[in-house]
Amino acid sequence: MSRSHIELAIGTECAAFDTMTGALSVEGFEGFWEDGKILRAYVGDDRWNPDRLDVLREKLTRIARDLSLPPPSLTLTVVQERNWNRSWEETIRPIRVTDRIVIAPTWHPFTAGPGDIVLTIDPKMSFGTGYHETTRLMLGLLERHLTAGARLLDAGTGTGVIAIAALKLGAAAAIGFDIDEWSFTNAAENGALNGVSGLFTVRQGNLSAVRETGFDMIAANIQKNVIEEMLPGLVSRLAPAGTILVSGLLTGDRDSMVATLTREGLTLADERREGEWIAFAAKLS
Amino acid sequence: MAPPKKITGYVKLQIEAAKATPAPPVGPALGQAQVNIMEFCKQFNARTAAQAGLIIPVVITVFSDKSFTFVTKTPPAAILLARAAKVEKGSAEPNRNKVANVTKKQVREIAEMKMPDLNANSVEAAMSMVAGTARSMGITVEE
Repeated sequence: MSRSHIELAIGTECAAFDTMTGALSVEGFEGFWEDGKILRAYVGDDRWNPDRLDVLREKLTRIARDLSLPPPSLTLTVVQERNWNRSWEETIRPIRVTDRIVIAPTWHPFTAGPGDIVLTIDPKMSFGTGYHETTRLMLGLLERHLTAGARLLDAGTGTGVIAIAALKLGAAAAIGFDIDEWSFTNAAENGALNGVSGLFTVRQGNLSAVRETGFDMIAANIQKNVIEEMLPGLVSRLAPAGTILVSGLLTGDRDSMVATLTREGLTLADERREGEWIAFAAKLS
Repeated sequence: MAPPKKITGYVKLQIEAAKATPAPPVGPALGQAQVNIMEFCKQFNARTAAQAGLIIPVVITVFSDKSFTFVTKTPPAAILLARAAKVEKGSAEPNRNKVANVTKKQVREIAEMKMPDLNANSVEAAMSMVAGTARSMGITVEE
């Protein structure tokens, strides 16, 4: 994982942006920001070859000339990674996500009422604050289908909110994994904040980081193409009669996702919608 | 009826379909607008899952309450041409070294796909723009 990025800021006219982004993307640049009359192009510093700068300058100058524009100005900067989401995160307040479950950051403590289950989540550039429909759908399914003493696998754990909720709802143990380094660290931090560190194992990596099998429940709040790719591996780690929860899906994905779940030997047990999002619980037949 | 929300700005990015992360450009661009970056990534990745592998331009409208909406556009012509010509990159010397060919039919397909985003009055005018991009990449358009 790249910890910093190279930013190539190109001062030119907007008319050149489309051709320049095309030329830079085939040179390995991965993302672009059209910032007024500056085109900012980004590549991970581990994939940047400084020897290419002269070639890029020549190429971009030629594109400008073909469009009857003056030569572009180029500025190279190293952008250090940091928590870009901090200013939004500081604005979040406790949120009730189901009849019983409330998610609250430490900077806005919540006084629990009778029967409330409070999840303390301090997000750090990780997904899973309760402010998104897909998290709320997943927590609703979890609350309905989790059985006491279950072993849970949380794919793409983010802040760890699903695994932590499962443990507070009575799961015996949870493993969460995420390819993102921020999520790996943040999930472990939130596990400690909720006093479940001893029951919650967090790993950085993809599904291959999980050798264990026989999970009673597997939760995956990711996105359709990733879930589809990962599903056979998830099902192979499910206990007989185990349940899988999938979220991060648009309502338009319903039929193809149901067909995919069925193809993997799963039977639809529950489906819930909120806004444009849909989530499923399916059981191994 | 609630009054319409005030627009505070637009953010224009080009990022790979289904692979948005908080890394640059998404992080710096949306972080300064105080938008929930993780929510944008979730929505963008869900909506572009079927276009994986392509760079997608996206225009994000930011409102005064820090909420946002976004629309996606068609990929840059250069990327579609490289894909059609089955080459990874264009020529370093496009006037002298040609790296690949595309057919006029492929140019028309790309022009038709890009029509909504091009300042062109007809498919023929859009084809002319796409052919110009092909020339700048050292890709020859076959008659």
